[in-house]
Amino acid sequence: MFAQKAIIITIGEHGTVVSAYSGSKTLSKLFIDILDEKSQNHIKEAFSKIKSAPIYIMLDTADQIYRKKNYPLVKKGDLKQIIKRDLSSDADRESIKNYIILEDKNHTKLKERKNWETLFINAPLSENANSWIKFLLELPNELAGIYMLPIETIALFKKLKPSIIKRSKINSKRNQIYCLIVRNRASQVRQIVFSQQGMIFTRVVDYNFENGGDLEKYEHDIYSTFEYLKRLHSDLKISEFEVINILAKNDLDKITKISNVELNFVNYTPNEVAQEIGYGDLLPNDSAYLDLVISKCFYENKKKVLRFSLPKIEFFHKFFLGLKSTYYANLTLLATISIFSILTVFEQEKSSASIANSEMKKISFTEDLAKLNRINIDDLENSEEQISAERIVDFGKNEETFYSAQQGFIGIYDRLKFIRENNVRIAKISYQIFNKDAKNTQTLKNFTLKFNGEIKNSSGDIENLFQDFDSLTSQVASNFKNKTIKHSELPRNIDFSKKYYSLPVDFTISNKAVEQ
Amino acid sequence: MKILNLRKKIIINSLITLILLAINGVVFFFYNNVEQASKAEIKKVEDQISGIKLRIKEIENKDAEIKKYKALWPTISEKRKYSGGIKIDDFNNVLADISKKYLITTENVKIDLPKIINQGVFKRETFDLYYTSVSINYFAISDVAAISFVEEFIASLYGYPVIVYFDMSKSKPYTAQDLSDISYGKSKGSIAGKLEFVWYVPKSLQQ
Repeated sequence: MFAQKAIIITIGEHGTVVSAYSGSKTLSKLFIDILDEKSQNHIKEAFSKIKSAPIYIMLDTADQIYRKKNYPLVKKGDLKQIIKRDLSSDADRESIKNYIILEDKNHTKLKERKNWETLFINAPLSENANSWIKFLLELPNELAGIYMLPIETIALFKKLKPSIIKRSKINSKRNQIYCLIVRNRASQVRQIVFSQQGMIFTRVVDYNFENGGDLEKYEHDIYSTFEYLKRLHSDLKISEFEVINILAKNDLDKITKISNVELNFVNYTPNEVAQEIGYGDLLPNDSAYLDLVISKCFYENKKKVLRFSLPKIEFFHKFFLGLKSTYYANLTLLATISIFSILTVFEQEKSSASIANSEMKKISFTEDLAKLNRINIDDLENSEEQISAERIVDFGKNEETFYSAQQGFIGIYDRLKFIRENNVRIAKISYQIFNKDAKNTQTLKNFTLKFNGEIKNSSGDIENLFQDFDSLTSQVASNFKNKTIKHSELPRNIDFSKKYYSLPVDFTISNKAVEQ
Repeated sequence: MKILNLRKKIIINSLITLILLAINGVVFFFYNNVEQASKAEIKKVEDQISGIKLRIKEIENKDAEIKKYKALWPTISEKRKYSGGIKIDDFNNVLADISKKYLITTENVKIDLPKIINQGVFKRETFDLYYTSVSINYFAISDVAAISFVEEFIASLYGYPVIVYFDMSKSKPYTAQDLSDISYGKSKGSIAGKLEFVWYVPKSLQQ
């Protein structure tokens, strides 16, 4: 349904070959002698099922004029302007015209070129060709354009070239020039010469090899073509001039009898050519004509070489372009609609799955939550005290908040019990929380403890007094680690004549952090 | 004829293009709607799941907290589990009993009006915390009695009394006359003490 389709009309002096293709299939092949009403109806009927196929006209007429012209080395854009001006100033208004800028593959950069070589093509439209164009424009199919058979034969030549090289008898060929001599049903025998630049020469010749006739003419034509080419390619030698005959078997049999050792032939029947390039079913074994092979190669060639047109064709072309644009726009929109529809369905399914998944998770978590709640309730119900968990937590927090603060003074006082063992009599003791704030239990831990009194010695030995004092200070230090401790020293003016000694002591203990 | 046909086809195709454009708009709108709706639905369920997860986390935390405090519960004394609020009569009775026990003469007992505290670390669910500042000046006959009085008095109070000031000094050594006066109950003793504490007492919300 969507395979590439095309109708190729090869118009020549001796009739018209009509072929239609779809994909790799050949749908129809007709030879029309004269375009009369009967043949028109026949064609209309044949094409009625392939209205979407574009029609390509290939002209295989004898009066095509190929003229080579050199232009000075200007920018390519400027060159095209000059050529267009030359074409519009051409006095021949009846012919269809176009040009090819010949690419020089040896000098691809502009600086390396000497000049621009162009090939001008003029093809007068015969009455027969005009009738065909008029008829084809009436068909519902699009007339895609007019093409010259010799130029478009490059598609066939490119496919056949590997086989030609294989069959060639020339050992050291120093050129890329190949002369094809082919017989078409539409125009009979034609010489087409290809070089690296594409087609560089063509002409229609007429031979009748029956009973050995025209062999000399054939040979003479090769030499005259060679001489013409020699002017273009001065280093071309006849011994390296490759002639490829694609003719009927009978004709080839005659040609092989030519005893000229200078000439190098590579011979094919049209069917052999079809076999070589993979069109096995296209021609019968004894086919004498190459038209169908050329037109199929042209059909398959995506990059046609040179399109010719007419105002009428262009007029319809614009309509077809508009129609194609709307088709493509509709196709694009249909594709977009399809994509969005699929995406919508996909999104719905995806979201349904996601929602279901999330719902499952939700159910699972809800069950977990219910289980946890149940465990908690059971725990509390099972407890012997029957006290609410909140109350237990609240009292636990109270304990955490106040316990250490509450232990403050009582705990500190307990640590002072060693004092009595050091013969100290306390006269005054004070404990104070400084910067206290009842709303901040942390502040209730910052204390200062002061005590003063007397240290007594009843042994009569002053040394014991010193020892007791040292013991007192070291015990205070060990009992209040990480605290700031300040204490008075023993006086220097001790009266050693006394029997008993009683000296004042004064200690202040506070949190180090507060001191800082 | 061919041109008319082509024109007709172009017009029909253009109309189809317009219709398809409209359908495309509708389909896109529908797709967008479905996408947004499903996203919203998924978000709603996910939000609910997040809420449940949060609740589970809360319950787990709460569970851990309950376990922790359940273990602590037996170690908390009954006095600290009291939640009847600050009762001045009870306070006076305890003070009188313990003063009598240690021959303490109290003077100038001050107790502020209790205030409620239920912010931050003091926030509780089952009770409010009240606090007040208490100041007691007293005289004792010995330093041991003075300290024991403080220890027992503080231990006898329910809730959490936190000592913030304590001062104890002996004004003079005892004479025979002093000792005689003490035995006759004529002297308060020469040990002067001052006790200040902040007293935190819970009061159940039901009360």
